[in-house]
Amino acid sequence: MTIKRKYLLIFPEETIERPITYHLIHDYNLMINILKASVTPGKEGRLVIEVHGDKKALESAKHYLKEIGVNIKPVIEGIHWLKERCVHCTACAPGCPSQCFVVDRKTMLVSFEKERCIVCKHCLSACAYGAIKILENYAD
Amino acid sequence: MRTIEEINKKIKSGKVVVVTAEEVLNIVKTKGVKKTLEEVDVVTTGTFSPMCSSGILLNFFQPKPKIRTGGGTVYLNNVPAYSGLAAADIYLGATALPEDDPRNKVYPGTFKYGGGHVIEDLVNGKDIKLCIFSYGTHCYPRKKYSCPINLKGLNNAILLNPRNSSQNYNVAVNLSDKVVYTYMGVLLPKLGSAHYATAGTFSPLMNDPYYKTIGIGTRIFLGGGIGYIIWHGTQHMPDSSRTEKGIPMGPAGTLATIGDLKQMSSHFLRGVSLKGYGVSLAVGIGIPIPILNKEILSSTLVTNQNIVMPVIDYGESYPNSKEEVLAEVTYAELQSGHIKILGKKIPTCTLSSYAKAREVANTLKNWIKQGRFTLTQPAVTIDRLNNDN
Repeated sequence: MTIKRKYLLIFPEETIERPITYHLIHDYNLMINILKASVTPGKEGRLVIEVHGDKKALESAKHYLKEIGVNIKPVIEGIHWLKERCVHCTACAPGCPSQCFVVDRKTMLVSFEKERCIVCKHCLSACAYGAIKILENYAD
Repeated sequence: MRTIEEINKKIKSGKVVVVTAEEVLNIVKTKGVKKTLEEVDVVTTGTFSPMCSSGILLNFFQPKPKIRTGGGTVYLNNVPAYSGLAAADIYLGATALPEDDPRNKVYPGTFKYGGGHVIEDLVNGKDIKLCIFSYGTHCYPRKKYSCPINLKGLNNAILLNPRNSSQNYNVAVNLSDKVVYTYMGVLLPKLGSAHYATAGTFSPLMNDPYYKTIGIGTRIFLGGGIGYIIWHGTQHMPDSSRTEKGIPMGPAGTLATIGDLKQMSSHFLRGVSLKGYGVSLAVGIGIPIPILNKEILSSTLVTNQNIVMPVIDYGESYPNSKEEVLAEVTYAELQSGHIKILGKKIPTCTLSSYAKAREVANTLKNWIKQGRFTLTQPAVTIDRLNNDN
């Protein structure tokens, strides 16, 4: 059975130089889509990936990551759209690379399509009304 | 054709016909101008947008012993308020920031909390920490005072806004190769986004472009409560260039407004944090336009297609006061989600809310229909304000 999941990987300093993504693809036959990556010199690295592959292979891959010291956290939720705080201004829409914020051009109401979100955080900067929140495990 | 007194009689008897600035367009389309003029008494407008020239005038009950705010310093939740007034009067502006806010020291600043947010918190009934530092006089001996205050416990809380409800505005784009952070929003580089403002067909001053019905004493919807117009706003520019239909082609008229904060709601009064820029207050305003004659009805027939807005580069031109108009686009084009500038298709957005503007116009319509809101005859209309007679 193939499944698709999003994970946040946190690499301690000692694992940064290892080609972990290569191993996930080569050894576990997983399709990896890197949604976001950041490495702080001398500190930790953070990688948000979408993994597509066999369920069992994915479990083994997670085991491998844990063994080498990579902290793996499921991305259950990333960006939160607080509907009750949204004033439907549309400021979030243009900069969103995955078009999560959909504007109904007739009513001019905004809606949020969460499953498209790649957690780039543009909307956090664009929203002036405090209607976008982010979960802690995504913070840089 | 009809007078405000006649309209008010109809409001009281429940026979008034009120429609929004959007609805009147369809009515004229199906019934024609003549029939619409006979039937419609009032057209309601609305807008919702950050309006930086807004603030609150507060008067608190004196503690024992008394303290004088005048000449001292005053803070509300750490946000400094203006204290150069009588003993217990203070004014808090929407854009005020706590002294320890890092502002843009680490660029771009986030501006999480300021005057606009204090106003929103007050309206929500939250306790606000009032801190006063003064020098002490014989009649006002206390030098320091700190206590929680809330809206209910204040003697007076008045929203008093020197500049609201801009008639028309610029469309901001960014020709530079860096993101710029402005009061129009986060402008993406190389024409990455176009940011507009106002409420198009709902905009109050677009429905009475020469200010013939709006004036001092006009009763309005303000922040979810009832307010009044007290003057034209600051930077009021009635003589700006206009289209054949009288629609200004850039910033023009503005209004100064007042109202009892105790009636208002955070649904229509919201603190705003503009990244890299600062804080502000988004205000919902709705003005009823009495359909006194055919000319006034015609002016309420403004459509989003009629409203032309100048596109200005905020990357380089605007900050350096070289406001060259790159192009002129209509509100309807902006609202479609994309415009074309210098051969490039650009996504559009706004910090104003068209959906909220519609909600304001509908709320005001319902108030009038229910007899909760009658119209006032302004003491002087804005077009005659600077005449001596």
